Amino acid sequence: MTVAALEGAPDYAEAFEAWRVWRVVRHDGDLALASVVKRTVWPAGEPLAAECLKALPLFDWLRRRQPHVAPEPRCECGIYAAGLDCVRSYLTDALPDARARVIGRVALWGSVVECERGFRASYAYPLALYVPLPRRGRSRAAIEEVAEALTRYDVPVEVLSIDRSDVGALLHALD
Amino acid sequence: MQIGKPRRIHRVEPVKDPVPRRRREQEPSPSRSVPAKEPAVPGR
Repeated sequence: MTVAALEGAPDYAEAFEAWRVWRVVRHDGDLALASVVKRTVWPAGEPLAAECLKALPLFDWLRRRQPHVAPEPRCECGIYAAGLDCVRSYLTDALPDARARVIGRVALWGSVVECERGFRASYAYPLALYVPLPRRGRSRAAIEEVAEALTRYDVPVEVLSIDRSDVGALLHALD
Repeated sequence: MQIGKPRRIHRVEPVKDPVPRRRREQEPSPSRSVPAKEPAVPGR
């Protein structure tokens, strides 16, 4: 095998796995996973492909320069995922427009930027979803309805009988 | 999400498609039977 052929070879033949928290939102009549910080909705049955959502600088915009391919190491773009400890705060932060919040494992592939505490990837798809009970307001039946709706992603979905504010118990259940 | 500074870039090309639905569509359905080859009848 030549050096050139080795350079073209991938570093890994299996997707990376990490954790994420999603909002559950209504989208096109269905309940769908959505980013907690962006408006990105995760499609069911196909990978989410990253794109840089950072606004182009005026000079680049005027010159009709195309946005770069995501994830670019020098930018902040890409699909984020990290360890459980890093994503836990997103379970308790206030997200008023969300039907529910779910935590789950996610597969990452394509170009994956490894960072100090997580990853930014070009493609991602959920591997397993866990729906914790809300702190207040929604009934267990409503949460089970959310879990049922999320089965359209074709991955295991589990309702956790743990209040999502009890992060310690939640992490223990997921570990 | 605060994940810190980039360390390195990996090229990850999974052999197995991580998307379950697409993978299932690519696999032949187990209920689909392959029609048996009709035995050759001489003179037919």
